[in-house]
Amino acid sequence: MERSKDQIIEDLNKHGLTKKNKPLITNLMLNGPPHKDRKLIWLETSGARLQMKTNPNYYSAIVEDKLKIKTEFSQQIDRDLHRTFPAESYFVEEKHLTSLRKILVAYSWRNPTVGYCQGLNFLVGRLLTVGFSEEECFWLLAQIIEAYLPNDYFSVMTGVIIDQQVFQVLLKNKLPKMAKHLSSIGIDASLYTVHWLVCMFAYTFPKNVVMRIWDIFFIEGSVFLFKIGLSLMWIFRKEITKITDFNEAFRFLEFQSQNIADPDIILGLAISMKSINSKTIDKLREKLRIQSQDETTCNDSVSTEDSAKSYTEICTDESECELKSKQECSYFTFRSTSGVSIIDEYINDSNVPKVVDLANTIDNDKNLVIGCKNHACPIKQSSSVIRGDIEEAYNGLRNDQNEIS
Amino acid sequence: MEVDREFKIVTLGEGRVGKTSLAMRYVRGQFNEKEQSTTNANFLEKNIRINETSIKLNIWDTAGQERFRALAPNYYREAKGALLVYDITDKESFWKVVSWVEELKMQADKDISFVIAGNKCDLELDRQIPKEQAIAYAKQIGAAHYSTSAKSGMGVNECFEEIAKLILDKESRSGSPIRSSKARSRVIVKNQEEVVKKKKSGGCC
Repeated sequence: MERSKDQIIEDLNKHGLTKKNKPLITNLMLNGPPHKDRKLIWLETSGARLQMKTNPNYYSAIVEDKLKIKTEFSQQIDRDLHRTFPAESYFVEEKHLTSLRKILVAYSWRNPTVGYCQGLNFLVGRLLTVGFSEEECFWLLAQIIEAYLPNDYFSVMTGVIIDQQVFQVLLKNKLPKMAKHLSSIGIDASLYTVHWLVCMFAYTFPKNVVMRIWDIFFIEGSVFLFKIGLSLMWIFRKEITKITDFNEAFRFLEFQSQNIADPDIILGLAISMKSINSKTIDKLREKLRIQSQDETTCNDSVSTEDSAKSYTEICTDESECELKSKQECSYFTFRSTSGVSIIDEYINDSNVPKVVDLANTIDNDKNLVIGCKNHACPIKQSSSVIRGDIEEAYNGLRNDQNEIS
Repeated sequence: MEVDREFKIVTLGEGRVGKTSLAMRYVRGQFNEKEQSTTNANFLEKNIRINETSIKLNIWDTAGQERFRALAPNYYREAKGALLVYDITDKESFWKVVSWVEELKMQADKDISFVIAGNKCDLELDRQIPKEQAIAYAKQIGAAHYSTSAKSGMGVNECFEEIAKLILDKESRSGSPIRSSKARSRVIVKNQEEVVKKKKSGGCC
């Protein structure tokens, strides 16, 4: 197993991202790649490495020519340097702040339309802490801005406003009860999603979770940001729908994400969300863009194209499930496998739900398990039942791996 | 505790003038030299009493960079008061205040009250904006002006309370009914406890 992992990485290193190795790399990313390989994989999947090869000395030349010139952007960057992850010791060291500055200033020269946008400091900051060189960070940043996100994201931020509306529509579709509840207390996605989108969750979650999110982001693209947002909302759906006070709800949305310590849960949910893909997002973006140009604000007519395939319905006895989940864990509880018996082996002793990839185990056909210890809700297969929430999250990881590529 | 009134206030101004620091100093009584730059707006609340009226201030602390202005209407919509902050050591930041006033007059609630805060008064030696000039401008637009320092705490309570007073005055003049809600006050008590807890543990949001 280890050896084949190494072979995949070696193949990537030699040939770059190919049709053949992409599914393998994707697979590798689902459980988090070995940290030592992460850099190589991000550089390849994002296209940053290709940019570096095609444009040798590009970064060093900008740095040499432009770094000392004072511009509006360089001044804004200087103001933000010490305000980038100020609580992390890494960003106390002057040499790291110097690197951060060089990358951001260099980019402002590469792309004067964007120049510098607050939030990019957090993106680059996170990249630096992964261990990328300045040049690598520079090209990763360039790829994120130029290849991954709409072109008016960081310049005039229209793209961000549109994406906030996209998220609101998805929330309405996927978590209608919650969307209704939140709007009844006056909370719209535009209030709490700015940093999700602009910083790609860089400071929304603990660092280890951010790494894992970006692992998939570089493969799936910006659609994955929406999936993470929805998964986050889903995880806390019970808590959120109980809050009836605007202030309390907003604070909850702001800070609860920091409590997601185990990336497997949220990643598992997001990866399994099959009905949302890049096409869905692009269509929504286009539609909302036209709408906002027409100055109509009604999003109700927009809907995602869900195709209900096979869903696994879990708790047939809601009250029992609720009771058990109260006794055993404060999170959600569900499981999805073809057989119940196998689950217990994969649930660890903590009462935090775990996601386990069963792809390489005895039971091969269904492979996502999320649940908590001693919870034994009956499971049945259902082909058409949708109960409002992100039911497709229950589907297996395996199918999605094929779809991603 | 019964709350008679609830006001939404928004902080606006150029990046790094100290909007977050002022709000944090006011609500938490803390000053953090290394405040993280704001991307999403921060939200803070504080209960105060002005004369016989107990008031809850909901403070929205926004991102400062110019292009984030596109997102600002989400936060200043329905705000009754605005704290416009500039940095006394940064001339440009004062002109940003002027442009914010123009925008709010056009786009915000027509009864919105303004208070201008010249922040970082602990750096008096580096001052670039003459105090008289700022006061004269404030007078001209019917706003109050305060010299503040989030670092030392100078003028911080005063500027926020002034906003509350201005809003209260305006409302009593226009005769809007005073709203009170028991359900809300219950929640508020709980929140206060949370704030106290946070203070004790020294935690910051």
